[in-house]
Amino acid sequence: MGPFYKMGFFSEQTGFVIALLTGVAFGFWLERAGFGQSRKLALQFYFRDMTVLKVMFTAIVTAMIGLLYFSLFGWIDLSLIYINPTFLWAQIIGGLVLGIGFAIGGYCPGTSVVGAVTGRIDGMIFILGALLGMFVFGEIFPLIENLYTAGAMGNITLPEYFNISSGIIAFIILFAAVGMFVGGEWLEKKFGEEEA
Amino acid sequence: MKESKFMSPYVAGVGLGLTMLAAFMLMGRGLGASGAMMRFDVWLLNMFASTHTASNAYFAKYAANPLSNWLVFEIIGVMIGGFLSGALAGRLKFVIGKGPRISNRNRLYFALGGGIIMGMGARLARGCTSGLALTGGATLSLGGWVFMLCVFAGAYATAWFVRKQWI
Amino acid sequence: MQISAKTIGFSLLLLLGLILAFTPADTVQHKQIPIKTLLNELEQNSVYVPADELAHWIIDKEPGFNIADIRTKKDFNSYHIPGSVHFPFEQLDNIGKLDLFDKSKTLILVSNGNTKAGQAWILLKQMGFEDIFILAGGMNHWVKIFSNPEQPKGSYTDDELFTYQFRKAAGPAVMGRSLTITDSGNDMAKPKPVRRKRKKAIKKVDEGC
Repeated sequence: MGPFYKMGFFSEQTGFVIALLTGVAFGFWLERAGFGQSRKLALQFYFRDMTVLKVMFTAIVTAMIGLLYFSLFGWIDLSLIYINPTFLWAQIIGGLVLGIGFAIGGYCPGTSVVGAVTGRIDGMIFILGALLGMFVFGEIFPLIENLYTAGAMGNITLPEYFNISSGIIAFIILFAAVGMFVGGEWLEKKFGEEEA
Repeated sequence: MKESKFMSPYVAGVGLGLTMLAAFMLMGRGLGASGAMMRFDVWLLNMFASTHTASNAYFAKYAANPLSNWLVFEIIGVMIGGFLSGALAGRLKFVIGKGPRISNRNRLYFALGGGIIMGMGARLARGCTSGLALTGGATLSLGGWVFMLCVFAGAYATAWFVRKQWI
Repeated sequence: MQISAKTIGFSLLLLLGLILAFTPADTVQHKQIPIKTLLNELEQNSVYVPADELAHWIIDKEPGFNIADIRTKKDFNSYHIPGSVHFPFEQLDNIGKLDLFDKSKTLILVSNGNTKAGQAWILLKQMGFEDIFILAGGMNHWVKIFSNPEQPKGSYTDDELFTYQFRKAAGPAVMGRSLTITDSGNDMAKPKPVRRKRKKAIKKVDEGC
């Protein structure tokens, strides 16, 4: 039964090896999808290339279905899985800021790394910028500490917040995802500049 | 070598999802990227001003062994994986990704500025698109979903102003 | 044939979702430790860190622990253990502020005595802090033994003398007045730090990104 690391099946060092391998797969798929190229990513925001949306949601629903079915079969203990803590206001503002940076810079942190190693100069510059931005954040941290912790709600999940079972939430998400895929295809036909 | 076409986004998405699922199954955690950058940042700072990192409440969180972390190894893997895939597809070359209507120099200024803004946003939200939107999305974390919607909202709202850069 | 492959994929997704909607896949529960267990644990001495041991950690600059001072602002300002963070009891429910503590490190709670720290201990334990201890006797005891250590009288054992010497030597360093302990009497050698093995921090992976 998983997660194996938290069950103590292997040490932290083995975990690092797994991290490396996971990263290889992560980077590989990102590059395969074309996420190493800022323009392809950015065209998402002009409805011309919906790859970002498709890949993201396919990945989310795949992992989500996997987690829920695994837990159903008793293969994994979901209570041991790390759940990103919710800091509502920090994440709303942070999300908006990050979105602005995404549209201007054309990358997000993960894809910029893929972009940089495949030779995109804008990706390398973007990483420099991100490092600088994080440094600035640390420096002004005392000033924005209240914002950083605003809206703290702990490790809360959608099913807990809405008090609906995870299965139903998952179904709603799947339904919305398929809707977005179909809508995305339609938008690409309408605004897309090149035949995919 | 001719550049090969990108993979179908659905296939790549399933691959990405399975990678994430494997990470959950093995480690009990998802993927990430910006955390590794933060650690690299602190590592750099440690070399020049270690007392400064120790006295700053935020840097201090990362100050002890900043590079001995799961995410750091993962991001090294991302570099290898991205490079491999790019090499296999013949997509390795030094270029600047941009639309046809912007100069190289301006594009790089935009990349730097966008990076700075993103760096701050990622730290404020405690994650980026991979660590918070993807991972939080799959684990149905409330914050992850709120964050994801806000990222798209922020990006779509800004897109019009920087359209010269991309289209 | 591209379209049909997609249609199959989409339908499969919806089908999987529909099945999920009718299953009790609702296993996302957080472990809640029963209060009773916690109270029992609190009764035993295993959750208390003796003042001398904590002083050793501070002087040896051991990494891997944080000290949270839960007394009032006034008390904290008048004196506190060097390196401790002020975290008033009333703010313990502030999850955001708690986030500043690294959960993989040992957290030591300091109050005036034991009672309030004990309450905080239960609260934090329920919030998921696993590696958390209380300074035995709190600040009252701390000040007593380090500002004016009691000299062993009559027939004393080596251990008692050793403790006394350590307390006297450590006093200036752990009372937050001065960080040097060099001038604390040349007739006394700095006692060799006794390294005691602490409870190993629970393996925990931290932030997601």
